Amino acid sequence: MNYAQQNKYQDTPISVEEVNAFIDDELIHEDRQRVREQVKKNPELTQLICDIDQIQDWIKEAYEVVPEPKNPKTRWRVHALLPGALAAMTLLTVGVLAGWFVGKMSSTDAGGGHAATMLQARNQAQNVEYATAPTAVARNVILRLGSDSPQKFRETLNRVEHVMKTSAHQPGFQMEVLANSDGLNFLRADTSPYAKQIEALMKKYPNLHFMVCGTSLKNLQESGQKAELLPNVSVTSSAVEQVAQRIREGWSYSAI
Amino acid sequence: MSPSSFLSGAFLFGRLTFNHRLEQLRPRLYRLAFSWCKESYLAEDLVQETMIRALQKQTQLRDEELMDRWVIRILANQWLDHVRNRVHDDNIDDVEQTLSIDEQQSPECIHCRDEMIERVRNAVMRLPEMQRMVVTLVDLEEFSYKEVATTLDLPIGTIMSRLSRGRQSLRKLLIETKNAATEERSKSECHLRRVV
Repeated sequence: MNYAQQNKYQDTPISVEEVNAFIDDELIHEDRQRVREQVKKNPELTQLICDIDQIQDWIKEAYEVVPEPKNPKTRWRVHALLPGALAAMTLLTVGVLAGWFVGKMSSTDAGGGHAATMLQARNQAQNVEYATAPTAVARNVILRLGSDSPQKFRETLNRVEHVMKTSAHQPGFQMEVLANSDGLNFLRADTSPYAKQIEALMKKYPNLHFMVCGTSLKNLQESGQKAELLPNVSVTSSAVEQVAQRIREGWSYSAI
Repeated sequence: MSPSSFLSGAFLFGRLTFNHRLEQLRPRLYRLAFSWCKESYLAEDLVQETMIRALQKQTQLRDEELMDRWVIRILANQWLDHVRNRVHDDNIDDVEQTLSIDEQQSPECIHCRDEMIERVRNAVMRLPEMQRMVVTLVDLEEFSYKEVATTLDLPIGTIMSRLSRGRQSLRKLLIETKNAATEERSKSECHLRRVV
């Protein structure tokens, strides 16, 4: 409760919080009535209500139209997930029809046979989502870093080292480390505290890739900052697109 | 059709609907993020992070009717994380606003609408983070106090107090300043007349 305001309206038994709740229609009937009575008696309260009402209008107007994000490509980022889902849907329909057909065939069997068919159909449907994921067998990993906290930098490096140590030998295994937003500093030549370690890791593991979000890089450059990346760090169109693409391909995704 | 196949179909259809609805929410998320940070590229980054997290956590959404509230809650957490990392030692709840009101003009005195909009946005930016978030969630998103409390994980009493303080500060910045300036102007004019 705002005591300064209580003093200001000491002739009234209501607080400024209650006045706001009155404006926002958050009071029960009795309390509304109580505020209304006070408003009638006190011109200061009337003025306060008018001012808050004016402020609400200004706020709505101030954000009615906001500046568009500079990169229009971001608009279809989530749609990037849709083609995969649509393909999965098509395959699912085939799977469902096949399951239905087999189910029909087996429905003439007694209990056990039918249960086996059901299980088969379920497995078929569950696998459909990954049917579009040719690399899903190796369970590749994409790791995203969106912060420039030193602790998260260390955590990223530790996690990369651990994953590569345990999985790098698997045939076809790939790992991507994607930096976006403030995480870009992890892969910038002038800001990364781990430049040497990152370069050494890339040399040691050819299946480890470091990349930055193109949108974040563009924003950084537009803000007038120098954005020189570490050697062999690639630039992807945007973080969401890259993550969406990898999830669709069946990669394991994790954010730090 | 086997029940399991039907369920899997429903799952995929649900995912399609989820993605579509998430994309539809993008302008709202962006507007809200912009009202909190007033930087288009940062707002875009926040929305991007939020959408990634929403996609990751979509199985945690219990009531689809409340999807917008759920996603806005993720956005609010993203923003608070960002602020915590930026502000470091300061407690974002206790950051005192510095109201240098003398450089403010009243929106009513401004001829150009764009300038008025800029004044209001600047005033909103002067609010401490939590006050700004509460004010925008109530006045832009038209959330109820209970919804804001759930989104920000705070008691309703705290929401009421933050909202009240936020609006009082905006009143000072945008309205009382104007009154003071008008009074000052009339005094000077009066003085000039006497001199003449």
